[in-house]
Amino acid sequence: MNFFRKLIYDLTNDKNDEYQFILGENNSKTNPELPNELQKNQKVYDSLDVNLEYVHSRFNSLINSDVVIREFLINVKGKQFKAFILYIDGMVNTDSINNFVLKPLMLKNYSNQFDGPQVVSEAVASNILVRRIKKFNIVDYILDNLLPQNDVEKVNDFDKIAQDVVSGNCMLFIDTVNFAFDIDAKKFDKRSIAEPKNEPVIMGSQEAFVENLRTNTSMLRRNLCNENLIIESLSVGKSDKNQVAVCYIKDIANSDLVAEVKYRLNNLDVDYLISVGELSQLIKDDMDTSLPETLSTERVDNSVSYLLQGRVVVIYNGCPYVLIMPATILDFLSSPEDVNVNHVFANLFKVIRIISFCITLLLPGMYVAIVTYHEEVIPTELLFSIVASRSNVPFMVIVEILLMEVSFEVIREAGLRVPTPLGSTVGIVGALVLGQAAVEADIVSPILIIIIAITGITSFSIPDYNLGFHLRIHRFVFILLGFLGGFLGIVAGLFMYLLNMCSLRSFGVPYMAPYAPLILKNNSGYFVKPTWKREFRNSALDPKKKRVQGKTSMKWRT
Amino acid sequence: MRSKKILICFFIITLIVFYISNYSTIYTIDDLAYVIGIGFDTTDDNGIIKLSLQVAIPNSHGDNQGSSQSESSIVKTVECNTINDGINLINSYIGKKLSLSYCKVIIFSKDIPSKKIINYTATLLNDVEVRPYCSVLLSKCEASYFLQNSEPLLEKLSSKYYNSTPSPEQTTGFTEHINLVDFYNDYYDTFGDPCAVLGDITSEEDEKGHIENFGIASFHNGMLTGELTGEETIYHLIVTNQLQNTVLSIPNPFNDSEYIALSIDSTHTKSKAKIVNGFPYITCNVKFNTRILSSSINSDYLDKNNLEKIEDYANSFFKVNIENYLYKTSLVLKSDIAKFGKYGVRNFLTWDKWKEYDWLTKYASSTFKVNVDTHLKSSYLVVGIN
Amino acid sequence: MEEEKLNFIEASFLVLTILISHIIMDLPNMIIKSQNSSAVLNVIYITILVLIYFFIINKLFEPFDSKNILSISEFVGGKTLKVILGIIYSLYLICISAVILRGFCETLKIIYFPKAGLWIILGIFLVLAMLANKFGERNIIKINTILMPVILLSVFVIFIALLRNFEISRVFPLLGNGVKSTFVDGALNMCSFSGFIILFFVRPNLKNVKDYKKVGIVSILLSASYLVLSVASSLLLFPFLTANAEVLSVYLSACTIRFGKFMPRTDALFMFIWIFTFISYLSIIVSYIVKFSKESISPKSPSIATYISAIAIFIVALLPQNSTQVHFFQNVVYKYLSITIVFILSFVILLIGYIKKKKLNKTREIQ
Repeated sequence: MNFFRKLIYDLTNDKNDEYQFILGENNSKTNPELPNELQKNQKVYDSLDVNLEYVHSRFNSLINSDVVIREFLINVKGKQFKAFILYIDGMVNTDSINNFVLKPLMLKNYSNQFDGPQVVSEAVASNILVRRIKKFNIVDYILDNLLPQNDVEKVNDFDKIAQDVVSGNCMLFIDTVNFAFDIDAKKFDKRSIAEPKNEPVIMGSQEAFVENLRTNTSMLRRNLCNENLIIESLSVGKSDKNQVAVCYIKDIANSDLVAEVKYRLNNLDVDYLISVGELSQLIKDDMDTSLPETLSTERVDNSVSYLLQGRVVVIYNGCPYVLIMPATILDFLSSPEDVNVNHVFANLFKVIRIISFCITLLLPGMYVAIVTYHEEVIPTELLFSIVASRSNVPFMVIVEILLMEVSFEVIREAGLRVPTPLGSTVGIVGALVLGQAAVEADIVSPILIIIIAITGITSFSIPDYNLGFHLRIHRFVFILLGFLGGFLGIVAGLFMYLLNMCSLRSFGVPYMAPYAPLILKNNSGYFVKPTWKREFRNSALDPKKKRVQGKTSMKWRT
Repeated sequence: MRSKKILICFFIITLIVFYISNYSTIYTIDDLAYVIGIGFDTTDDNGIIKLSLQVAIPNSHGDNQGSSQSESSIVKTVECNTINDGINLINSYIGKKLSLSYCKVIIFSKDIPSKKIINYTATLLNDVEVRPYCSVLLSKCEASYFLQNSEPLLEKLSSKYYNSTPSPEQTTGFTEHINLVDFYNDYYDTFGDPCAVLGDITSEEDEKGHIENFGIASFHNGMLTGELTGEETIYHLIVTNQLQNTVLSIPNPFNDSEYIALSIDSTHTKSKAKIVNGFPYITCNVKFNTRILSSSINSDYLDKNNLEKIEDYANSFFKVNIENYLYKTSLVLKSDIAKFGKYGVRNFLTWDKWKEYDWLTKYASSTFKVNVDTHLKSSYLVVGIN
Repeated sequence: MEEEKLNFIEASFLVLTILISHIIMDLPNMIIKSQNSSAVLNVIYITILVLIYFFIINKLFEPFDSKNILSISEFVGGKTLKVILGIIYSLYLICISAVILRGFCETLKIIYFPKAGLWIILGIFLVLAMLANKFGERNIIKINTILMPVILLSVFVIFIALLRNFEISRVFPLLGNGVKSTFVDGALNMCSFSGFIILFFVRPNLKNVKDYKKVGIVSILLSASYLVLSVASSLLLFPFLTANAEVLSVYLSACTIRFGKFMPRTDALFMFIWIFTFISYLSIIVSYIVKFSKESISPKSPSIATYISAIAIFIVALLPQNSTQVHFFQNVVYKYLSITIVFILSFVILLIGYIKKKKLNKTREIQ
C-alpha cells in the first residue's frame, strides 16, 4: 500500500526540485555589463597608494589567489621610498625575483649604501675647486645600480602593464615615480619539444612546435640562422590579449604581404581567440568557401622552408600549430617529405596525391552517376557481378551510398572521441565487422564497401587536415549531383568547383597559381624539380630575392 | 556575392527539375535486363521478322552451390514487324527493361535476303545502345537455335564466351572478325564488298552445342554470292594483312606421304592495283615468316639446302593457293572482299571518275599476279639429327 | 593590373575553345560532306589561307597599338558604327552559340536523357554560363587554361586510339570532287576558323602587344592540327557515303574505340570532357557579348548584359523545330555568316581604319 501511495504521490507531484541554471534571464542586477572604457589608456600615478588601489581593483587581487603584491621599502641616500612588486604566482621565476629584485632593493649593499654625491666633472679656477655634481634621480639610480636584471623596461600604461603581468613579467612600482619597471622574470611549466605527431616524416627534423611562443620563436631562430629573420610581436583579443608573433625574412618576403598580414591581425575586433584555427578563419580572404587559405603546420623545418620562400609565419601563443601564408592549392597537396627525398620519388608521390584528391572528391559521385545513368561504361563481367551482388539489396544506390558514407563519418568521429585503449577496437569493430555484417545482411553491396573504403583511404593521403575535411564534405555534394544529373551534374559541379578555386586568393596570391593564371617563368609548379635545378623562388609570391641558387649550384663539378 | 548564391540556387532547382522530368526513364543497373545476343530468322511471311534475344542472368562468381550449374542466360524468340516491336514484346515477358548496350553478337540466318540484313544492321546502328563493334555472324543454322545452343565451352558466362570466340585471326585464321559497323560501312564502301562470318553450332546428341565459326560469306550488290572455306579464309586474311598467327600444312618435298606443319609467325602483303586495258591488274607480294612445327626422325633443318628446298616448295604451294582464292573471289563470287579497291582508287584523281569506273563490277574481270617469299627460320627445339 | 592581362598561351586557348567546340559538333562532317576524300587537303589549304589572312590582319592592326576592332570602328565611323558593329558581333555570337548548343543538347538528350526536356538541358548550360560570368572574365579564362589541355588530349587520344582502324586509302582520290570544289568552293570552309573573331578583341588584353603575332600563329596552327586530326578520324574511319550521321561526328568515332576486350564504351568518358568544353565555350561567348555591350552600349550594370545574352541564346536555341533546321543552320547559315562577319566585314573595317590612320599620320607629318 505504501508503495502505491508513494507512486501516486510521485505521479501527481509537480514540484520540481532539480537544480536548474538558465543563462541570460534578466540577470542584469547580478550580471551587469561592465563598460570597457574605464580600463583604457590609464597611466601610472605618481602616488604609490593610488597605484596600489588601482592594481587591487584591476587585477582583482582580493579574489585572485595567484596575484601576488609584495610591498616593501627602498633605502636610498638616506631616504626611504615605498614600493611594491606585482606578479602572478606560477608564471614567474621566484628565485630570480628574490635574488635580483627584492634583495638588491631591500638589503643593505654597496650600491644602496653609497651616500656621496656623484661627481660628473671638476675644474680648478682661481684656486677654487668647482665640481659638477649629477642631480640624484631615483629612477636612474635604481635602473643603473639596484636592478641587476637583464630585461627591464619602463612602462607607464596600465594596459601594457596588465598584458605583461599576465604573460609572466614582474612589475615594480615606486612611490613618486609615474611609471613601473617591467621586469622579465618568466618561468612556467611547459611541454618540452617533442616529435611532430600529425606530420611525421622519415628523413627530416623531428622537432615540433609547442604551446609556448618564446620556445617556438627560439626554435625558428635556431633553424634559420639569418639576422634578417624578423619576429614581430602583436596581441590579438581585447580581453584575452594573447601574443602573436609575425615572422618573415626582411630581404625576401614581399613588404606588401607582410603589411597585409599585420593589418589583418591588428584589425580584429574580438574579445578572445582560443586557437590558431579561429585566427585563420578570421584573416582569410574569402568567407564563402571552406577551402583552407592558410597552411598550418607543427613542423619547424616546414616553417623555415616556407619562410625562405618568402612567406609569412604567424605563431599564436598557446597553440603548437603555426599559420603560413599565402598558400596555394598546390601547397596543401605537398608533404614536408617532398624536399627530403629524390625528386623522382617525390613526384611519384605527388601524382598519387593528386589522384587521391580526385578519387576522394569524385569516386562516390561517379559511381552513383555511372550506375544510374551511364552503366555502359562498366565492363560486362564486372557489371554482371555488381548486379548479382545487388540483387538482394533493398535500397537504391543513392540511399545505400549515403547510408554507408554517413556511417563511415560516424565511425571516424567516434574514433576521435574514444579513449586511446579502445580506439583501435572501435576502428576494427566499426569498419570491418559493421561493413562485413552489412554486406551479409544484404543492406549494402560489396562493391559499395570497396568504393567507401577506397574513398576513405585516399582521404587520409591528403597531407592537409583542413583540406581533407573540405573534401569529405564536398563529396556528398558530388554524390547528389551525380544522382540528379549523371555526368552532366558532376561536370557542372566540377566546373563550378574549379571556377570557385580559380577565383580565390590567399593574401593576394591566386589560389591556383601557377596554373591559373598561367605563370610561365620561374614558377615552381606542382612537381618538384631536382635539387640542383631549384634556381628560383615561386614567382607567384613576388619575393624581393628571386634567385635561390646559382645557375650551377654544384661548383665542385665544374 | 548574393547574386552568385541566387544563381547557385537557380542551378540546383534546374537540376532537380531535370531529375524529376527524367525520372521515368532513369533505369539503374538493377532495373535492366542485359541482352548479349540478337538473332534474326526468316518466316514464311516476308514482312515478319523472327527476333531472338539472349538475355544474361547475372550470377555472382561465388555462386557455385549445388551440382547443377544454373543457366547463365535465357533466349526468347518472337515474331514481329520491326526489331523495336520485337524488343517491346519480349519486354513484356521479362520484367526489366531490355538494354542492348552489352550485346556481343548479332546473328543473321543465312536464309534472310541480304537487303533485309543491311536494313536490320542500319536499324541496330541507329540504336543508341548497340555497340558498333559487336560481332556479326551469318549462321548456317537458325539464329534462335544458335543462341539457344551455344554453351560456353571454357567460360562461365556466355558474354565472355562471345568475347573470345569470334577473334580467330589471332590464333587460327579460319574465319574473320567482322563488326557491325564494319559490315554496314563495307556495304556502302566503293573500295570493296562486305563479308560476314559463317557460323554454326556443333552438338552431340542430347547435349548443348558449341559455336563453330568456319569460313566467311561474301556479298555483292546486296546479294549473298557465296562462301569461302576455312583454308581459303586463311589466304583471305593473309592477303588483307589481318592474319597474326596460324598453322598451315604443306606436303613434305622429301616425302610425298607426309606433311610439314608450318607455323606462320607473321605475314606481310604489299598489294598494288593498276588499270590495264580498262580492267584491274592486281599484284600481291606476300612475305611469310615461318618456322617448322612438325619434326620427324629423318629431318635435318640445319641444312641450308633442305631449308631452301622447303622454302621453294612452300612458295609455289602458297602462290597456287592464293591465286586460287583470288580468282575465286573474282570469277565465282564476283566480290572484292579483299578490298583491292583502296589500291585501285589511287589511279584516279577525282571521285566522279572513280565512281564512273565502277570498280566493284570491273573486279570480276581482274587479273592477279602473286609473288610469295617464304622465309623459313628453321624449327623450334628439335632441329634435326646429324 | 598586370595579372589581368593574358599571356600568349591563355589567349591561344581562348581561340582554340571556340574551334574545339565546333569540331566536336559537326565541323568534320561538314568538311567531309563538301570535300569528300580531299577533306584533309582542303583543311591544309584553308589553314594556309587563314595564316595569310592573319598576317594581313596583323599588319593592319599595327598602327593601332593595343586597340580592338570596336575601338578601330569608332575611329572609322564614330560611335554609331561602334554600336552597330557591337550589335552585329553580339548577334552573330548569339546565333552561332545557340545553334551549337542546341546541337549538343540534342545529342545529350538522344543518348543519355531521352525524357528530359530540351529546355532544361539548355537551361543548365546557360545558368552555368551566367554563374561563370559572375565570377568574372579573368576566372573564366583561368579555368579555360586548366581545361584546355585535357580537352586537346581527348581529341588526340581519339585519334591515336583509332589509328589501327584507319584506312589511308580514303584520302584517295586526292582531289575529291575536283579542283574547283577543293580550292574554290572549299575556301568557304575557312568558316571553320570562326574562333578567329577572338583575335580581333584580344589585343588590348595581352600582357605584351608584340605577342599578338605569336598568339595568332600558335592558335591557328593548333586549331589546324586539331581540325586535321578530327577530320582524319572521321574520314579515314568511315567511307564517305556513310558519314552522314546526325549526331556528333567525333562521338561516332569515339564509339568505335576499343581499349582491349574489357573496356566497353568509352564515349561516356569523352562526353564527360566535352560537356566541360561546351560550358567553357558558352561562358566565353557570354563574356565576350558582355564585353561588346560594355564597349558599345555601356549599360549601367554589366550583369544585365549577362542575363540578356544568356536568355537570348536560350530563346534562339529553342527556335529550330527539328534536327533538319539545326543541320541547315550548322552547315549552311553558319558557313556564310562566319565568312561574312568574321572574315569580310572585320577585314573591311580594319582596312578602312588602316588607310585612314596612314593618311592622318601623313597629314601630321606634313604639318
